[in-house]
Amino acid sequence: MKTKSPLQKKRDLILVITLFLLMGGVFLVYRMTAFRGESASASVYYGTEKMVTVDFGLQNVNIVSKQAVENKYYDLYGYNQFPYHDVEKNSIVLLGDYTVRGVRQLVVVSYDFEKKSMQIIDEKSPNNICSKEGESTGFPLICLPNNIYVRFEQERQLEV
Amino acid sequence: MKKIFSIVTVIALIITLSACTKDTHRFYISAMDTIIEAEVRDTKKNANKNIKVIEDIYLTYHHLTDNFRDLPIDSAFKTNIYAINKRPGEKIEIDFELYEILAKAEEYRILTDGYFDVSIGKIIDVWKEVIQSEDWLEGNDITEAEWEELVRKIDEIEVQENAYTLFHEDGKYYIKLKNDQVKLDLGAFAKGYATQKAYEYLEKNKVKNFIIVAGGSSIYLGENAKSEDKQFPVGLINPNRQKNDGRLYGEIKVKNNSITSSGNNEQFFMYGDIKYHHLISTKTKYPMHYYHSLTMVTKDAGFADAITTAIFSMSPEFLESWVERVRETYDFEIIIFNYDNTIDTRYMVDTEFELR
Repeated sequence: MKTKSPLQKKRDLILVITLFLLMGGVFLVYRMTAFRGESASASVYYGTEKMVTVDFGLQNVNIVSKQAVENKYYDLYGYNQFPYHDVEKNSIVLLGDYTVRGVRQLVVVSYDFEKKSMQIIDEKSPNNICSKEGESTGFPLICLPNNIYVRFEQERQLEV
Repeated sequence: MKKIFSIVTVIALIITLSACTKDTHRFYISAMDTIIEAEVRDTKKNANKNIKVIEDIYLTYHHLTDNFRDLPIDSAFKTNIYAINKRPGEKIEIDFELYEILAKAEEYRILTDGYFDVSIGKIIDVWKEVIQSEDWLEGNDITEAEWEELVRKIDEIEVQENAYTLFHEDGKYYIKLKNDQVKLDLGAFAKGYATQKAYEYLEKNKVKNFIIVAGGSSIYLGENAKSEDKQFPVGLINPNRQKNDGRLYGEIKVKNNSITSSGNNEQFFMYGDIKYHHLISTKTKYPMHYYHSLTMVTKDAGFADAITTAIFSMSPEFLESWVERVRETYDFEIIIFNYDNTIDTRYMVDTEFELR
């Protein structure tokens, strides 16, 4: 078997580091530019179903669809429906798919009309990736174990 | 050194050119008791300049046509509708902008054989008082006593002929209301009229890609930069939505046109299983029940605002003869959501319509 010379190894290392930095750079540029610009609204989805729309311009929250959940969750968490719009706290509470000892966990999404932003502020999942995403004004927030995600829409849906 | 110089030059060039690139800018204007949403695709500098002018247009007509408040103390205008309504029988000097919108309203009154009439403010007030009453807003039907009181008040008011006179002398503009039965209310016209003025400004300044959403019932669309055919899809709201119905009953594709809807699905109350809405007939002084909604596509948003209000009270037979007569001069299309839930597209010409 042919062994690589120290020079070839050095070249390989440089190539790997360069590619790594390049990909990191591309990712950063993508995050900074792809979701640039103001969003008109954001929608919260459970699976493929749109549950809530937040209109930043008209400053309203619209529960589009309700989650079908077992009755025990209403008593357990003290909400009369899911999604629940907490007007006082500017947040929306949904029931995620991630379970702890067989019990589905809550996902809390906050919104800010002024900043036109959304943030997943509370959720339970193995690595809490989506709540660590922080506040977003454009890039999607994805809570995979909970099957919930937030998508921003730049274009206004026109209706009369 | 050469390489570094080249890279710096390229970066500087990108930064300089990015300031000139066109992007979508969205603005919100609070006027006429609603939020006006304007979206313009332009350089940031141009967009800001254009929106400032559009905001001025809406605020001008907001103040001039306001029938609840006097002009602001620091206003540059002479008077407004609120102040004029308090002085029946007097000759009052008004600004050209107010004269012009009232003259247009008079043109449309004649065009619609009186079905559009901005002088029936007293009748509208009686209906609006019940529509906005606490009982109704709390979810209860109005009572028999409330209904009888409404009927009594309506009976006392007469629709006036030649309700107001507009005239100009020595370069000044004046209005005179006939008597204290006349109350001007431009609520069914001012928003569309201002939207038309905003569109005319954008057109004059060669802004092609724009959207103006004036509340929930009036839209003006330019060209859609993101679509090959430059058209925008516009959903038509189902005015008589039942439990299993979707929010929309259809969709139209539009560019360089205004779209205006009048319907009985907002601002109404129930009495005896009948929906009494806010589009009051000038002929009967009551809301009519021929249609659930009318949507007009036309180049003039002011015309659309006034005319959809007027034809809501026209019977289908009268509407047919009226459209035949008026279409020679005015270009428009109408989609009708009838009271029996059928959709009538016989007055559509070029606009692509799809039923959902």
